[in-house]
Amino acid sequence: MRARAPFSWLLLCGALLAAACQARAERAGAFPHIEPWPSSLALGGLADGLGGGVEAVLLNPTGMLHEPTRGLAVSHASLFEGNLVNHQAAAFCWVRYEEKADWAGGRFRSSPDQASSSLGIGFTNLSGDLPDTNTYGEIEISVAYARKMLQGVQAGARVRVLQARSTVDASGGGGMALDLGLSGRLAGFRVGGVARSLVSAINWDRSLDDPLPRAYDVAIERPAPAGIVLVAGASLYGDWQPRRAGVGARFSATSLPISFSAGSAWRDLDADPQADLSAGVGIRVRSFRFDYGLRTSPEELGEIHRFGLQIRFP
Amino acid sequence: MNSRPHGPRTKFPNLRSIGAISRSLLCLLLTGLTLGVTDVEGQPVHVRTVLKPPPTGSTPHVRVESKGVGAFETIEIVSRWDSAGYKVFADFASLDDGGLEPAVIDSGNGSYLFQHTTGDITEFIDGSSVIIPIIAIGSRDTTTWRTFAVCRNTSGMPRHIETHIVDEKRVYRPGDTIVVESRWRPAGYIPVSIEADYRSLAPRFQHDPGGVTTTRDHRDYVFTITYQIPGTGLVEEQNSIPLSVIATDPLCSRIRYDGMRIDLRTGSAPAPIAHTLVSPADRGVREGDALEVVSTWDATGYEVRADFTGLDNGTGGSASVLDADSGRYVVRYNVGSLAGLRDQTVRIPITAVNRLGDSFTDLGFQICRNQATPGPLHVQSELLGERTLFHPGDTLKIVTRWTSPTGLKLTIEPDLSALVPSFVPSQAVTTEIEPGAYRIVFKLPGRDNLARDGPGIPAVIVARDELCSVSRFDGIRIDLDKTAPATVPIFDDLPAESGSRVLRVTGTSQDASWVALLRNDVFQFRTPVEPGTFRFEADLDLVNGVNKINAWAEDEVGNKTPLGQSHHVSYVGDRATRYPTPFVPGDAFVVHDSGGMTEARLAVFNLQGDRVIDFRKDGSFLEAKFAWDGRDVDGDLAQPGYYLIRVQRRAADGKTSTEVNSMLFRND
Repeated sequence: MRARAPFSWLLLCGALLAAACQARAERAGAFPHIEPWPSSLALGGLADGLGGGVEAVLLNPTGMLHEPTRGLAVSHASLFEGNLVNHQAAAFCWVRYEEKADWAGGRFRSSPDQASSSLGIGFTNLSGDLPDTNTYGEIEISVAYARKMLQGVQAGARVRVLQARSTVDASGGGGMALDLGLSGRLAGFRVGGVARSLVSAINWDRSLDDPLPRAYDVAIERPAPAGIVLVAGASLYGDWQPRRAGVGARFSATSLPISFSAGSAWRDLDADPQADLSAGVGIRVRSFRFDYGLRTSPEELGEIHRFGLQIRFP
Repeated sequence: MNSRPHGPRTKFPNLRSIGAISRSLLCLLLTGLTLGVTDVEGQPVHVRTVLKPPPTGSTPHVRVESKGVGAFETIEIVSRWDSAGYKVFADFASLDDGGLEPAVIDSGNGSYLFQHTTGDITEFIDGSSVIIPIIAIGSRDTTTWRTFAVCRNTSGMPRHIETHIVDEKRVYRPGDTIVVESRWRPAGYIPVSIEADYRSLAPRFQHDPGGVTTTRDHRDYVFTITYQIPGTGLVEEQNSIPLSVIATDPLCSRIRYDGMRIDLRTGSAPAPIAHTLVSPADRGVREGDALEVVSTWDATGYEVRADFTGLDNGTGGSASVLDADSGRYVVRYNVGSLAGLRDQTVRIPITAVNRLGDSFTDLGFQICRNQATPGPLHVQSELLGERTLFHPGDTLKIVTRWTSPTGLKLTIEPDLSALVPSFVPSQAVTTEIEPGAYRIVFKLPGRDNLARDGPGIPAVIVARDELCSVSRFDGIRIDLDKTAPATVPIFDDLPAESGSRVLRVTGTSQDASWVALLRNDVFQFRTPVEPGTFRFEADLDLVNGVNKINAWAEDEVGNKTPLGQSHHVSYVGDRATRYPTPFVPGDAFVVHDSGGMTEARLAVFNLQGDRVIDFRKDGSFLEAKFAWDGRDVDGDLAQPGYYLIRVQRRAADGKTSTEVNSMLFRND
């Protein structure tokens, strides 16, 4: 209990500090959240408010405590039309386990180890072409931490160090951002949410030094029969107005090391709703998992393709 | 290319998705197969990477030891690693915006050869340390070697003008001082440095920068290098020891001149240098000739004697000797009776004695006794090929036939000093193609080393026989034209923008016959210049975007001027979208379609696919201009960053097209 108190206070301070800032429905510019993993993309980003395993380092940090394994994940994506933009992500996480023993049947029974806390390091790189052979790029280095709290609630925080650079003069910048995440179980559902850029500061070479727009991802999932997991989620602007919402499902075959995911999401809900579709496939070979994800764009911007590899360590 | 237009899209993205998923699963399968069959090696370990030296030039005594990399130049890089079988790449991005290039040859012993031809780097900044990363890929790991660097040099190299030993002394002794003056012309404003290399004289020689004084004479650097020969650490006494000077600049140029020679004497006896028969010069010696021989020794003050007994049995009396300056002694002798003596080459011993009585007799001087033997006879000579007009870089080929009435062996060589003032016969290649017939081949040097333009410049052929008879034939005349038109082409006003793909260019080029047109530094074609008015005109095809247009002038034989002033003409192609980079509030997007549009739409999206702002124009028009104040659909100032632009056009025939571009937005 004593060990958990400072982290709880840290979360509370972060939330209060964030609440002190006025929220607006700004669209993302630099350093947007882009689904960093094929499995995330395959569900249209709807489950980014939950996350799971090492991938959660760049999603909801509390997901590192769900499916707790030490692991390494890397991915590469070509975004939209004509390979204008490429995006890479990598993450590694460590998990600390605690042994649990229950008194049952007149003697102690040891149950499987459970994750008590987790620390992760993530990296993303975005590079885009510009006219006249110019280029633009963004690098984010993330350090995430999550741990179990009271009443089965899991909390996490992530600090991102941000760096933008370009061959165009005076168009770079750098800064930091803080994200917070929560998750837990409620009536058979797993629910979670992550608040992105609750606190941020960016120093641009010449542009105005506005903080990054705040954004929220919330998600809920529930296992269904026959290896299916149903997911619903939404992305919200900083003023809690919905940016995007949708549903998806993940199917894992019990007899084959393969899984399929699909989802559909709507955006511009208040004006001219546009739907996009997403799908993906994962193949597991021993400790390795190869993933592929795809998302269409209703705005004729082209598809997003992402390939990934994940390694789980015993 | 940033813009990638594509055709009309279906309104049913789910069907497209199924196709895309199928393609992508195939990609995934192929990726897995590729991973499965990849060859396996360890982590590559770098050994050494070098740039192969430039080829040896043809200028005598001047050798380019290293140089920077220029435009349109093919370089070879040899990279040695611990093993063969790696996938090795070189990244030429920093050199000329090139990309990764694989090694063209894996020699099988760990050496990998890259060949790369540079692009047009004339607008790059010259650099003395341009890193070319070498990447070797094994299966377990990848090693990148980032310390291999070359120079990028589009300015040229220093040019050797002249180097000589200041005092004409030929023989040097320990304690003597060698003073060398070397003149070099820099390339542009790139400074030149010099260092001496006298290791052939003193093996442990090290250049002393303090012994060099540098002055500027107009454009040239004039270096004076002073060196005192030490008393120890010298090579053995010998003649014709080469001395070198090396000019360097910060762009990797390193040029050696090794045309200086000295004789080293470590003993005390007189040392001969050379003996020359001055008179008669071009024939053998006859009875009654007044001979004049210049005998050169290592010092003045010697007593010099020449023994002509072998020539005329001493009937000519004694020779007189005059001690001239700088170790030269003039020997005069009146040839006596040669009756009964047959024509042949005879040896004349020349002896020098110093004040201490040390003497040395040189037996190497020979003269020809030639009373009646006729010299070489010219039979025929002609230029190969039809033309007589030559300009720099051309190859001159002459065939010539000679005969000796008495069957003496002949030596044939050209004398092209009227054409090339610095000509020495060894620069030409003379081959006996059949008995008595010779072919002479000589490649004309650059314009700086040629004589002035003119018609009828004699190309002399010299024939010598074994009895010192010399015959010359100067009946071959060539015309030389090395002078380019005096001025570069001057264009009439060219527009900054062109609405047409074909641009009519006109201008004036004085004294030129042709104007060669370049677009974006690539030669396009030559257009004739009208005689008298010196006007030219041509239709030049433009490409989308900015077209850099310039030209050089040529005369009728191809002598070129430098490139003239560059002009930039923007051509908005059949379909184009223009906007500034970076885009700031108040800037505008311009959507153009030379075929006309009835509707143009432009929307800005962030990388999350959210629409930030959109514009639309209807009607009938060629161009739509959308100014943006940087605010999104909700009126908030957009965040700085990277955005996508979707442009949709509807043509007059109803066909629609969509293209996606990118932009950098800055809200300053």
